[in-house]
Amino acid sequence: MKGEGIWRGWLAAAALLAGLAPWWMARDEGTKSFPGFLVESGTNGAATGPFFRTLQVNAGSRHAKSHSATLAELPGGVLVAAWYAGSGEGAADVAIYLSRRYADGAWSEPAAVITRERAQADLRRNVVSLGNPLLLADDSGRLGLLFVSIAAGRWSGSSMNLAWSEDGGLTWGTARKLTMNPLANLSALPRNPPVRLAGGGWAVPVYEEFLGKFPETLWLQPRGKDFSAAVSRVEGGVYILQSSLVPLAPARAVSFFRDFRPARWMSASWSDDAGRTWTKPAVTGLPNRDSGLCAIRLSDGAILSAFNDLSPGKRENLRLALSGDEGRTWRTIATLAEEAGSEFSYPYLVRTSDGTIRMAYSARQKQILLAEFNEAWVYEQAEASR
Amino acid sequence: MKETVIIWTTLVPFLLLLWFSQRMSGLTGVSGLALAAVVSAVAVWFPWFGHPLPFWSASLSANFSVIMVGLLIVAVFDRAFETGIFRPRDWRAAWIFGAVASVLLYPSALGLGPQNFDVYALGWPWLFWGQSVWLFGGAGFAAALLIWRGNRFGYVIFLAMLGYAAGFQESDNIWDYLLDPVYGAVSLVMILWMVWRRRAGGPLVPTSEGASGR
Repeated sequence: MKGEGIWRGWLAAAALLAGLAPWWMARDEGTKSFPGFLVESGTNGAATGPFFRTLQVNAGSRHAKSHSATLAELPGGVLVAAWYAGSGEGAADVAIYLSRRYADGAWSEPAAVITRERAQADLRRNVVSLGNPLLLADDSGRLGLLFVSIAAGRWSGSSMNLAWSEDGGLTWGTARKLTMNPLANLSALPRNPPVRLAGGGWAVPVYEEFLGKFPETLWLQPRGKDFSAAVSRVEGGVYILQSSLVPLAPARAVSFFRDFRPARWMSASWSDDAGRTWTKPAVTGLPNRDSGLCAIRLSDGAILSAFNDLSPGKRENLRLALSGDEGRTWRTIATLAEEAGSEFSYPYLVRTSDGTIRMAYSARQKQILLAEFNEAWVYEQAEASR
Repeated sequence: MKETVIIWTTLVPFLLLLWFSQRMSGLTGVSGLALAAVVSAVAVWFPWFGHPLPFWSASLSANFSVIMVGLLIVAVFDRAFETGIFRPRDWRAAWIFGAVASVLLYPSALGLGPQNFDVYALGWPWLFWGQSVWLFGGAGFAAALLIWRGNRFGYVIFLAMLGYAAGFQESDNIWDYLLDPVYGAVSLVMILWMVWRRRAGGPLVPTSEGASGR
């Protein structure tokens, strides 16, 4: 009995130490939890005077559905776009397509970089369809691809995966599953642009769409050649999702949300601790009727938002609005697309190193279009709309 | 995909089948266990709808908890050798732990409760630094206390802690080593059953035979 008691004592002590071991082993990573956002302060792209142009990225596409485009800029100014396309949402033939823009401005023939079969082989589990891709580009030219795979059903059966390319998206390494929630890891999707973090990581706005529908932040921190992932809550409940994260300062940011409450106003949250905690979402003066939106910070600190204004149909127009007070109030300055009975949706805004603002969006969920303009054009529109 | 995840997603359906085949066949002892193991191994590697069970198991979840696997192993060995590895109070601790953890974790994961806080986020090793320490330490403390008091479920929690330290699963979140929806659901059902039994005038806890699947 005495011997058993001693054993138990040793094992109990060992269990206590095991509980503290992860804390001790990861003690240095704790300091990197919320390292702060990298706030772009690049050129405003005004040297060439105001300009605006639109072109189609997936010209010649025969897919019935092409949607949820994402953009990234590689070193040397090479622009990369990715989207999902196939015969329909949730269909087995949906794949992630990628195209690169050459120096002469022409887009490469879109290539299916991740197919359902490829994802199934990489992940070694059932994949019925693919969805929302998101590109991550770092200064070294390494390109990351977050994408959704659906294990069963529709979007509520989705989860997120990460693959890396060392050659600008031509070839991709084996994708791996990211664990993001404890309920069979179901229902996590990306939608809006990631934000670079000090120290080389990423804050990626993501959302859950299972029983609850709410926004979260996926934190990717460098760990060797890969990244460790963790998720924090922005807001719970069932009323907002698809946040657009805009860094205002290293520790300050604002998130705008797709809002499906009857009030039909976009809502926003602010963080003063580098994304660790967020204020209770408050409605802003920008209309939103349950449709995806995207926002970006301009060089003078103003925020530009692309959104679907209210219309008889759900997404019959796509407009730009400007805010000078961190997203609390807005003024609509331009209409990028408008057609009764049509649909223009899922805007995705980035500002490339030359200061040009580039916005990918879907037209009728078939065409992937790219609008390019500079801040001079934005302010010209703002002036004209007064 | 980690190689350990392949092992894990193979082990879980194998153990479940083993446990079921033991129950269905009524076989005990080494020969019974060996026969059930062969049947289960064949079933695990049989291509169901074109893929073996580990493929479908991973599709459902690659993060079955270490605790659930530990309890399955105990149940299988208890049935095969009638060793009584777990006594009624050990099972009771397992169900209480699973039920309490489920009530703490899952409503929050579904977006309920305090709107901007997710209990699951405490399980990442580096995100919410100050608070995470309490979860890691709490699990270690629960294991230490149970072991010290002679409750064998403490060893299973301890194994989950060691599995976490080894990075055995696909997940980096310690919650996934301690709990999964299957273990959580079974725990809640067992707790409700225990309460019903008590109200009906029966013993508070199931007998070791009932709890270990005999």
